[in-house]
Amino acid sequence: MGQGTPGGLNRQGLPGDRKPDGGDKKEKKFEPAAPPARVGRKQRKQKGPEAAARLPTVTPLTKCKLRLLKLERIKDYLLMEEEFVTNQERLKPQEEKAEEDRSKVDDLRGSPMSVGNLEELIDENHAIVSSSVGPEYYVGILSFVDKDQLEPGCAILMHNKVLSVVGLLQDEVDPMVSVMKVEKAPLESYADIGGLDAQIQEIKEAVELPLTHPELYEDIGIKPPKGVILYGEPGTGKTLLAKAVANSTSATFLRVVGSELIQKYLGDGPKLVRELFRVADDLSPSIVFIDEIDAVGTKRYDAHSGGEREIQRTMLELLNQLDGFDSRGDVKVILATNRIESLDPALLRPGRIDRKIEFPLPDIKTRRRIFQIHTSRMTLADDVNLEEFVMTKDEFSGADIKAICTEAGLLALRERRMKVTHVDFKKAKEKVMFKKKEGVPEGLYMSWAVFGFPSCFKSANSIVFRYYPAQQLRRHDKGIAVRVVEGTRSLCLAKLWILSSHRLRRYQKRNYWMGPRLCQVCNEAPSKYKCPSCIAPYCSLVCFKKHKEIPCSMLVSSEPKSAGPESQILRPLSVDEPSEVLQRSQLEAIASSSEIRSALKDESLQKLICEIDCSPNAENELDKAMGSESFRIFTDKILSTISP
Amino acid sequence: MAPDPNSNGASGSGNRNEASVKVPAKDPKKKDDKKDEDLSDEDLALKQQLELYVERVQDPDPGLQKVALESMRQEIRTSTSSMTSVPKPLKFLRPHFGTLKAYYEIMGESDLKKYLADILSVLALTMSAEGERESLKYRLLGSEGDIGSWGHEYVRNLAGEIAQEYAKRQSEEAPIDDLMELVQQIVAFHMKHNAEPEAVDLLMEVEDLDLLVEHVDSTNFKRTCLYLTSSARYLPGPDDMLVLDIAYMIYLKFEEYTNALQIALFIDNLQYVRQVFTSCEDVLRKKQFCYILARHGVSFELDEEMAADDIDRESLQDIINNSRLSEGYLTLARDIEVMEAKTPEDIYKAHLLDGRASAGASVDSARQNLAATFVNAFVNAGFGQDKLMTVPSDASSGSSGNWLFKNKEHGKTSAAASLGMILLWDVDSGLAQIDKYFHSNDNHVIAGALLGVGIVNCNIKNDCDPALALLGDYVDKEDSFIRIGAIMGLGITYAGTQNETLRHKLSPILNDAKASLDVIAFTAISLGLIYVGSCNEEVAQAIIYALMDRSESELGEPLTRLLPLSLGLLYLAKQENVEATAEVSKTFNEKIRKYCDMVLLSCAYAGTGNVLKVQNLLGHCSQHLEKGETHQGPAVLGIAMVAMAEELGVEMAIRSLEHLLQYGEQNIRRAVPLALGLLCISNPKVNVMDTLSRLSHDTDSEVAMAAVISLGLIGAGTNNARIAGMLRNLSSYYYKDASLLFCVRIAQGLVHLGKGLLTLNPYHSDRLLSPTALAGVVTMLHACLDMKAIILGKYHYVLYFLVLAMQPRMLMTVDENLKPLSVPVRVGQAVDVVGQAGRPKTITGFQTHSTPVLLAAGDRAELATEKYIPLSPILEGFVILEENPEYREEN
Repeated sequence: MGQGTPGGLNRQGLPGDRKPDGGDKKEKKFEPAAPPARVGRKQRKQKGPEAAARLPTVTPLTKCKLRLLKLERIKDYLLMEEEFVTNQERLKPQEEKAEEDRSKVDDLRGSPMSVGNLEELIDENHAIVSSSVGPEYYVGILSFVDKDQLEPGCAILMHNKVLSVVGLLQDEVDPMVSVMKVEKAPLESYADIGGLDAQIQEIKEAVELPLTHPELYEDIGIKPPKGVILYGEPGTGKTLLAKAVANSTSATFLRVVGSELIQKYLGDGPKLVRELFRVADDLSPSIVFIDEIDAVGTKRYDAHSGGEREIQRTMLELLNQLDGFDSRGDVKVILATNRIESLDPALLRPGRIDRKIEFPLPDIKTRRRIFQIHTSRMTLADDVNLEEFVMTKDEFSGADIKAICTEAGLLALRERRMKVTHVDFKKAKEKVMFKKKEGVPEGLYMSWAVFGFPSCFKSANSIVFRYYPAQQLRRHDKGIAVRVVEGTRSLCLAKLWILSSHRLRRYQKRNYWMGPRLCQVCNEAPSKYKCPSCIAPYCSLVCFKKHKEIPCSMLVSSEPKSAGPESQILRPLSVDEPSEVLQRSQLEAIASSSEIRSALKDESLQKLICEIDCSPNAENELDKAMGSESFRIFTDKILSTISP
Repeated sequence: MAPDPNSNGASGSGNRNEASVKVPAKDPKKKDDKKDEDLSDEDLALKQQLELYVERVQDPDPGLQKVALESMRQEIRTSTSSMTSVPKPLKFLRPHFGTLKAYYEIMGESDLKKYLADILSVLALTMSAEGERESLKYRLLGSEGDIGSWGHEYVRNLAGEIAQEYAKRQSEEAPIDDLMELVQQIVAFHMKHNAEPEAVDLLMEVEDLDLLVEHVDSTNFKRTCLYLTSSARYLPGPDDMLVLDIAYMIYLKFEEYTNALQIALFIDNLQYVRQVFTSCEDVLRKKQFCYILARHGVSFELDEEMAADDIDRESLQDIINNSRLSEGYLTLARDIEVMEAKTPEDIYKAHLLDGRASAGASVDSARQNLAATFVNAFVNAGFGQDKLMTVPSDASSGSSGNWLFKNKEHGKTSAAASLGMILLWDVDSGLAQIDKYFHSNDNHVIAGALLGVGIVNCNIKNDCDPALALLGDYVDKEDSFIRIGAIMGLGITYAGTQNETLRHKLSPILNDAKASLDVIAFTAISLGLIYVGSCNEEVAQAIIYALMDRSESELGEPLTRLLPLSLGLLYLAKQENVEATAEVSKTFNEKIRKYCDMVLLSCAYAGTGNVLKVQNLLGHCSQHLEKGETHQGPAVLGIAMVAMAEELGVEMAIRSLEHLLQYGEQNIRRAVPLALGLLCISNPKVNVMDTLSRLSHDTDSEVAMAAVISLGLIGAGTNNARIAGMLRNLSSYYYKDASLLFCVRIAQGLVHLGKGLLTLNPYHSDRLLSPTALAGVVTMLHACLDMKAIILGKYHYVLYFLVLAMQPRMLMTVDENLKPLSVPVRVGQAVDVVGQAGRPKTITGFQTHSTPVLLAAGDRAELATEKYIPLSPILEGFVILEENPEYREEN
């Protein structure tokens, strides 16, 4: 590649192929300078190693006799070529001659050669060169150097004494890109993936089949999809699936991580992207897998720093490569991210990425399958009942399950047992789940203003309700505390909860408790949006994280800011009050109720809620608000939704 | 499609039942059970169910059997799967295939047995060993119900097995009736389900394409025929003719006469052409046929039967005679606004070059002027006006006479003839303007005038036969220049007409001992052109005698090469018909024998794409000659002539030529550029352009000349800026080498042929080969094989043979009264849509223009309005539009 021969026709090695300036003597007499026009101008790079060596494309792609006949025709011609060439080689072997020429060229070149840089082309035969150390020289260019490929700035070989240009180093593929090529197929195959059947099928249809069976698509008359994006929670198997694709395909597999595309110098990132796709095209059919695409593919805002701008430019190049002016042939693209909502819409539009494949957290069936896969090579004691873990309400990702299995194995190792027991698994699970919770990202401090806007609810898919492990909670109360991640959402829910529990307490004399996370969210919100202190007492905060056994009464504190929300309980829990904790399903119901959602859009209602929020005496405000018809209807709705 | 184990596993787990409890991998020790473990409850149930059916089938109770068979059938039919995997019931029944088979053998004859055979047939689809054809076997034993009910894959598989079985039975000469019945069913099924290619393939395999005619209907005949015609190009004879015959019949059946006509022309069957005319009633349509015939360049006389009405017939014949070609062409020129005459300097664009070239331009001014004459003729071809020859029409012999006399001797012939080129196709005014030269007392001028008359009448047939009337007398004149002029003129005018009078007039010259060699050579060529592709024995005899009469020294003359060529032209594209003559040619003098052989072979198989012939020719090229034999040149050209039939051949031939260039001796290398020029004539492919550009700087000046001329040929009539630029640079590069500069000038003229409105491509209307056009180009190329002696010598007027191939590359739409009608059309790159499902786009990257428009190589046009219906499916040349009766103006 890169020899830039026009039309790819074999320029070297033709007997009559001499540079025009090396033409016959007669012409030399009157021809001071030859007119080859191409010096110093880089020619457009040809596609593939040798465009001419490529055979004509054969249509139709459907398997039919016409195609067979056409292919046979090509084969006939190739056989003839072969026959001709072997005949010629037999009659007139060129190897010796070529060998002679080669040794002569080697003599002329001398050795060792030094590597330099071509600074400027002066005329047909002279150039200014510089070596890495010394000054610049005006030197000749030997006639056998392909001048078509010389261009200012390219790396050249220089004679060790006279420094004339004796060759050039091909502007090869960026070594960064060649590293991306997956030489050794990963060991993971489709069989190692538990569940995800729909995803596997989708990715097969979109990526593998177009490369292996293009005629299927032709048959039906559609263009195969160009690329897919895999998204979903961390640990749900996106990369694993990509590995499986790499394992099963015979196409070239290039993998790159989004962050690799961010380079130190301006223009290097986009260049890398270009190189990447060029290599992919050269080696086509190929699959390009870009992991963690959100590193470069985030939405475009007004960038403030040069770095950001550069990242955006890298993305723009990516956009162009995915579906730009030049058509990509047999190059399929797989992107993976766990933050699809932050990606630039242009990246995801059909035509660039035709399929969006979601990776949900495993359901029970899949979970069972994943447990099977991970335990299949473990020696399990007879008492192990995986079904217990499979059926548990906790939300595991595939990675969690793997961690549990590993952890269980480690526990068994620690005790020098040969078998992994059920107890190991239990412990492992607790450990993993506990660790996992700590790793939960902090809530976002979104403004209360977003409260009620449908956008918070829209992302309902990505909102996950988590339960604390039952046994942990049981130490404190008989119910189940609800814990919500996702900041905005939590705020909204907290808000809803506050409203409803407040009302419940006041008018129905029942206590609802809020889970600690919700309280945490409420408390951590910027003061402006903070729960009013008068409501805070009802936010009975139960701390699980650090002080598992804190008696509630001990935590009566008037210092709201003392040690963070985990350590405070603002109101003693009294057992005699009727207590209840919102169930997950109830919160879900609130969140998904379209009536509540639409009611929240009402501005007057928002205002009322805001007033309750901000007033130092929320109860009064609430009473006031209860006077309003719309608010009453609204809270009624909430209550009717949550009441079983 | 091969079942994919991965996806099997995947889809297997896909249906896993949620309620399954015992599945978890509590017991990894039981590795053997792994398989069962993989099955979900649902699958397991299915499996057990199927196993039960299998048992039941073997039950003695027929009622039970029946139920079991029925349900098994139901299971198989209702199963679906992903694209690549085997349906589950088939998978589970796999182990029982043998049992069922065994049971089938012992089962008593009954309906149930047939039932079982059906199921076995389906099962055999995935289980039977390769080559056993069990699916077919049981199908034939089965109940012969609706074949489609088992799905496409089954039918497809069956079709494949039938093909194998058929081949086997053919060799054993066993009866095939039962197979044919099945074929009927399958074909009907395929044709109903948009799988025309498969139906055609099957019928081709069983060699019974006639069946197709019954099964095509108005929805699928177009796709079917398209598939047939495109397959025909790649099928070995005589299958291709058979296939085309069927396509022709189908087109006739559906009254797509224009397509039928195209096939008739493709197989060169005038009987069919006649049939198309007689079976079509619509006069307007017939007019469209006439336009196609006119473009094709066949002479065709309509008779009563084909057009009953006299007036109609006359107007139809008029169209065939091309009498309005000039008019249409000028309309196009006016529409595109290129009427303004151009001088050679406008073409050379010397001002774009560095100063030095233009400064020392006049090295050989006579030759420069000759070049200018040709450039002028090519550029202004057919426009009727220029700035050298016709300028001051009032001061009749003023400046134009001057220009004429700026040429020397034989140069004047070309100059006078160039007037004919400028007035191309415009018989009336052309003859009037040329007339004045007849009275010149310079023999060269008279010769030129005679040739000019011939050129003016090229491709035109006039009732009064002015060419014959004017030129006839001069044929037997003393002066050989005049004779050549007249003879060549006649050859160009009457190319392809097979005119008897001319034969009687010209053949005696061949055997005239007194006639000089050049006269004989040109007579032979003219006869070859007039009888192109006719296989006329008498003409062949005459030429053979002429060849045999040549003395040893005469055979070495450069012009002698035209004699074998003329013999070849007689058999142009006639394939086997050449054999007798080829045998005779073996008795020729050793010097010319091989040459003749090559020419005959290449001409006879020109445009057939016959790979064996290419191989033969390539074989000749692979020898390294010692004795300066010349037959390799025509062999190289022959490769191009044979391979130019279809796109694949062209591309592969270009590859092969590259090897020739690498290994060949000089005489081969000289011919390679010309062959490339022929392969891509008027079709400037970038890779060929680059190769030629490289060769144009070759150390061997003849290679360089050939490359330069070929650059002109591939860019002929395209105004290709890149080639123009290359040639401009070459003109400054070679500004001191008169002969090369002459070639560069000619090439420049060719690139701007007709100011970019003309094409030299002998292929038109979707690769329909016009024999006269090809003959013209080939003649010129053969002359170029010895550039120095012929083109650069005194026979430069052989360049005018190109006129035979000149055709406007336009799309001109005319209304029912044949008046030009401007409609919007989309013009874009043609897309190969053969065998594609649905109604795919036929063009890509189109632009919308209004007619008349120019069509470049590889372009296709389609109407952008629904208001009219074109009478020809291929929008090229003149196309008659009919108002669409169903058209509603929007709003």
